Amino acid sequence: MTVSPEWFVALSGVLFAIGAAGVLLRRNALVVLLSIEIMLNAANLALVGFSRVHGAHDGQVFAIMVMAIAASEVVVGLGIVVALSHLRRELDTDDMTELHG
Amino acid sequence: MIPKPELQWLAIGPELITAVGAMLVLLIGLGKGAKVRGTVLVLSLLTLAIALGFTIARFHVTTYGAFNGQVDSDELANVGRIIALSSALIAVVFGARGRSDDGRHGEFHALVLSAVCGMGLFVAAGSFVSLFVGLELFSIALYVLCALDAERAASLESGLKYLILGGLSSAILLYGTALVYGATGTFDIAGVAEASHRGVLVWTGAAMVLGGLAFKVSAAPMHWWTPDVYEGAGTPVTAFMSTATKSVAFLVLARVLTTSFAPESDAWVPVVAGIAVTSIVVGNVGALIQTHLKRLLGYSSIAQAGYLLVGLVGWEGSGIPALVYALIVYSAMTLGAFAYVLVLERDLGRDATLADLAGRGWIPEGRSVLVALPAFGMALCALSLAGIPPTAGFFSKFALFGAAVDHGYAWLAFVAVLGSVVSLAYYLRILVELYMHQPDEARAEAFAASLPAPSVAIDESGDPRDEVMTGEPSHPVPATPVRTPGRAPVIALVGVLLAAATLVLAFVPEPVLDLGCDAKMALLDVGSSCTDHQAAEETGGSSTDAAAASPEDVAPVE
Repeated sequence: MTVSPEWFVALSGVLFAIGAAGVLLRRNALVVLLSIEIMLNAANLALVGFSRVHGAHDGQVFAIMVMAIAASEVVVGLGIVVALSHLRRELDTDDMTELHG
Repeated sequence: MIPKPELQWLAIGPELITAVGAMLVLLIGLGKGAKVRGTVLVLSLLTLAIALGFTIARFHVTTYGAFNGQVDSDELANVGRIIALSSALIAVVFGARGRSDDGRHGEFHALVLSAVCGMGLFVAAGSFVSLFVGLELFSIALYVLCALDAERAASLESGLKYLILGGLSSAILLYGTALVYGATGTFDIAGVAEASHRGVLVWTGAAMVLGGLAFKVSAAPMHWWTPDVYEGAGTPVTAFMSTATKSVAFLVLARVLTTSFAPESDAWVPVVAGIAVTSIVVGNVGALIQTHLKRLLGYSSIAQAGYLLVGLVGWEGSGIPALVYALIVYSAMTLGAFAYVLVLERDLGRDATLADLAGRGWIPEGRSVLVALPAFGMALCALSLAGIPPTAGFFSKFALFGAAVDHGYAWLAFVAVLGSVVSLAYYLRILVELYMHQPDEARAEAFAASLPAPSVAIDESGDPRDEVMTGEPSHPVPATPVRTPGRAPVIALVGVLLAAATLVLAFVPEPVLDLGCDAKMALLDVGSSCTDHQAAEETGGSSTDAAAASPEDVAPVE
């Protein structure tokens, strides 16, 4: 049984929405970073799905590049989170009020 | 069968130069001592200067479809590169003494160079793939740059905020790209326009790409990060971010909207107009209540993004040349303003507020006029940002709003002018403080007390770290190294020169407008329709005969 590419794209839409909701609603910086990863991977799934629809490979190649980029983004994110946790204990984004106007 | 790639290395020359420079600087910067520090600085400046020279020398050399269509190096890309490289050059001068001598001073320079490399690739992108890679290359470098003062909670917080919101916007942009790819089957920026299938997927994709790029230009409603990140990041980084990032993102926005999504222009022009209005309102109203100078400039940059978007509305007429001119003017005046903020911060040893400006425009008795020159430069930049003639800020706004009026958006120009009037309230406050208030220590201290930890986490090499207690008592107290107050003559000089540039650009706008014309022709492939904007612009500058012509015979004026 094969799954038609439309379902991949639909699933990617759902994943993207879940990720976006996570970024906007969750407070823990780590979970927020995780949610961004979900969004990027949703885009990857869409790229690969569309790549199959078109019978081309460029979408899949792009998805691999996105994985590398997402990994480096998370490395930087985790680095900052670790540095922050050295300075202060909590990682609740709502408590990050050093900068306000 | 995948075709053998066309490798036109010269098309990405500036990026190669900056990438090699970044690696060298990082490697050499591992050493310790004042000598290494000097070498790194010189090497960094040299790399940027070489890349800038390379870009200017090959300004009119266009290469389309290099690297299998990944790179379109044209005049538009070169304008973006020139702005990014110049801004980086100035930021490096700003940050030259910024880091302590702990064997890490190569980082700042290497990150600035990588960011410039990414910006070059971003603005010269021929496909959405290289566009995204370039975007992330400079964004990730900027996240780290924001968080570079790791001893300071505000810096880390600004880095994390920028990373989270930047990651969100990148993901939106990427998903938009995926949708456009799904509908059209191509990543090519020009190829997307040729695809016959245009449906809801392209529309949604275009909206998401627009949203992602609107974040980078800090246009409302994608602006929330701007004031916080500008405040928390080190001032040299803020100066770089607010000019280079915004400029290249605007140029890419212009490229994508006017090529890939040109068939949808009836749909996106009103959206861009709406974003422009929101940005102008949010930026100007937000800036009114700010006392922190960097925050104020942050909100001001949101409003400026709105004005620049007004130009984009008139893209078919004189919008693109006006946009290029306005971006260069904006970069000069913003960098000039940040130069003075930096001078002030170095002088105070903490963040600068409006109250700190009080009386600084006066010449103290027995001192030379030169002492008040940096403050005069700041005043000039503020006037230019407000759009008061005879500064370049006025002519750039005139050109931008004129482009919108020509396109039938007179109401938008009206709103933008109203916004400019509101903006006078806070730009003139800078002048009032500089020239009409007595220096008032108590008032300045009261403002300073409301500030977070100082963002000038700088200490002189060799000096013992001066630890002060900041932050709320309930938290573990972050130790913040504070730089001993000192003078920054080089930065002050750069600031004065930039302020002078806003006057020069006002009276001799032709060379820059020619750049804009070239960029427009590279983008839209229109014959000589650039001339009508020149006629409109003649009112602004000294009217030499600068009839715009084909790219071959546009010689540098004078």
